[in-house]
Amino acid sequence: MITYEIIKECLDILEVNYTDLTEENGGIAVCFFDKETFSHEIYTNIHVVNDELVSFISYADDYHPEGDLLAMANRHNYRSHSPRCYIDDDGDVIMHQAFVLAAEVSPNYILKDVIQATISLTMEAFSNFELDMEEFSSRFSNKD
Amino acid sequence: MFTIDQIRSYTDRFGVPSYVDDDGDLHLNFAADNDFPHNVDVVVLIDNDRLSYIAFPSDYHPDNLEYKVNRANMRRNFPTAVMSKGELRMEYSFYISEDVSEEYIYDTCVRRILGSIWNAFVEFDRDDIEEE
Repeated sequence: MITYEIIKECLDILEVNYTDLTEENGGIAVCFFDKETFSHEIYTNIHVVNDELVSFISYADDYHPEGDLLAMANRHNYRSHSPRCYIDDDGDVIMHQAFVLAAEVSPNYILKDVIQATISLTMEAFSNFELDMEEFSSRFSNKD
Repeated sequence: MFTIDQIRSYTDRFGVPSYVDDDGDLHLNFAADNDFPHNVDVVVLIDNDRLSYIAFPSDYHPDNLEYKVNRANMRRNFPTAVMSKGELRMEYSFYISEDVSEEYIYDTCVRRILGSIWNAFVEFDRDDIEEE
């Protein structure tokens, strides 16, 4: 089971600021910025559906990489486990990760393997998005 | 946390033919049906705390693949469609370093994801599917 309350408790533990938009069905909004890693703000919307599905949908503000975006998104998905990437109808690069949490899991699993990992990997995914295979390989020897 | 034998014991419940290759990876052979008339080989790999699935359809070559791969990823929560050397495959992995129940492994990490992978192939070339 997963709820917005559990998500907010985890974000508090991780000391991540968020905006609660649940009353407007907007989920929970989080903004990340780490100039050293990626020079655009990353906005993540966290949605919970039926107390069992949680999804993280992220985009980077004013981020318009040049090149064949569909090929770049596929390249990302080919070499990275998560989050998955797609190009939306507006041509924006979207990072998306979803989890089904219907069966019992520990609080630490939600905190570390779901929320903390997704936040960290999303930042990394945007940071690596434009790296070609050679550049990526030199940074990582395996999918992470 | 989980083993190939454990995962295979779960997939055996569904009656899916399987074998373990020389690398210790589990292969599941899903037979074609009316919804998706191509056999699908699903490889299940365990690497430390990660349980991964890679699904390869047999003799399936939809046109405009790159566009449809992106469309599939836009409208489904999982698995991830990937184009590799001009061929389609579906992937998903679970990173589990903390405690989860056996029910979670069985129901979410095996039963549901295998169903999602099959449905992703069924819906892949359809134009009438809404985004999830």
